[in-house]
Amino acid sequence: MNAVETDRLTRIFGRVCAVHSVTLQVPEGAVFGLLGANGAGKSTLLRLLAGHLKPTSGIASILGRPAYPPVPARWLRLGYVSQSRYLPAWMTIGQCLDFARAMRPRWDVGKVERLSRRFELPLDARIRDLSRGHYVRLQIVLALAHNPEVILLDEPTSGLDPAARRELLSMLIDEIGLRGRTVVLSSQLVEDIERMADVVAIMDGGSLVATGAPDALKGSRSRIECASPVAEADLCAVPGLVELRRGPDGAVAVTNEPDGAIQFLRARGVEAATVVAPSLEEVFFDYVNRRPQ
Amino acid sequence: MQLKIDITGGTPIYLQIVEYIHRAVGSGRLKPEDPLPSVRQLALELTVNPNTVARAYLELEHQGFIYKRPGQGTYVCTQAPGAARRERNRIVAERLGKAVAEALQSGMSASEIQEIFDQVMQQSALEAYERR
Repeated sequence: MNAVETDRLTRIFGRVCAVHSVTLQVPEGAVFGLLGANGAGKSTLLRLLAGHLKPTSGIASILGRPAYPPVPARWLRLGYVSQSRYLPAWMTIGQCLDFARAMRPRWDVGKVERLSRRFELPLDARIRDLSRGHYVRLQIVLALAHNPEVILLDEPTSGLDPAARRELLSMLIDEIGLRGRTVVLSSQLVEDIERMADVVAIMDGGSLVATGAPDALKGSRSRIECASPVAEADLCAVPGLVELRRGPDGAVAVTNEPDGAIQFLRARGVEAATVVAPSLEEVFFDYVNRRPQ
Repeated sequence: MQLKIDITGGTPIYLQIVEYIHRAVGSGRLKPEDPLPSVRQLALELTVNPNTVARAYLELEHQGFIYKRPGQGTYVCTQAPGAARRERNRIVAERLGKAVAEALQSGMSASEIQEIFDQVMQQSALEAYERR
């Protein structure tokens, strides 16, 4: 069963289409990584999934039910870490935890204590005084306190130093290890997504421009590299050709059928052709057409 | 484990784990009946998705490198060193094959390639001797 699903989900703000006809499926237990630059529409998509925003058209479903309008039966099974500082600034961390606990029947006291200790949360500190690191950690404790089945994380690692980032990911790995947890994680950092995601979606201009397992995405942009010069006519006819790049060292074919391409070139007497899988970062830049030159 | 995950290259993470275990067994750092870390432990150590580690372990199990003792953990198989050596030979043959194909394509003769190969072997033997 898909824990999270959308069908042609669209959200328009005024004249801006923030999310455009997004269709996706996240199977139960999977980690779905949403990769995109600033303004790609990641946060709006997550807010739609969390039920905090009404779709302009299309539908988002969580655990088989519409995400909007948000009803307790749904949000009690959902954990959401947003990017905005929405928690009451005047409360202390301790007060905030007590307040949230009163609203959630499945509050896991032991887990909250464990996480608060691990994150070294200063319970007496006021929320307005928290650093970005402590604020995110508090949000994560709040999001996981009731052991939700679906966890939505909007750029949780942004603004964290490398050690805090690593710690947050470790905590997430612990959580993913529990059975039946489905995670949607957005990030601008390709590394986070590659380390964590079973399925990656690349978002650009409000649309998903590519979706697949990280390895499949890399395979879809395989580069054929030849040690010796190859006739450009041969490269142009390579199976699955998506792009032909001309550089100082000759042409490079980018293909989504690496095995077929190699066989094709071998049959034409090009022996020393190899397939080079690109990094996920290169794939990302390929799809959003912002390849660094 | 001494494994560092490389995300700048194109090699899938699960494959990096598989190849690391191959090398560790091939070099004798991991011996038959040695225990492997649990999926969760290794996922935390490498900071990668536990599903990815589980996939690597499944692949290694299919290849006959490791086996599960129910309720206890994962261990290196008795026949793993032999399999690791075969795997290593296969990889070396593939890489040499590529170099030879490249050389032939550039118009070199078999004896010219052989001459270079002998030189390279002598050079490595010399370097190994000097390092001692």
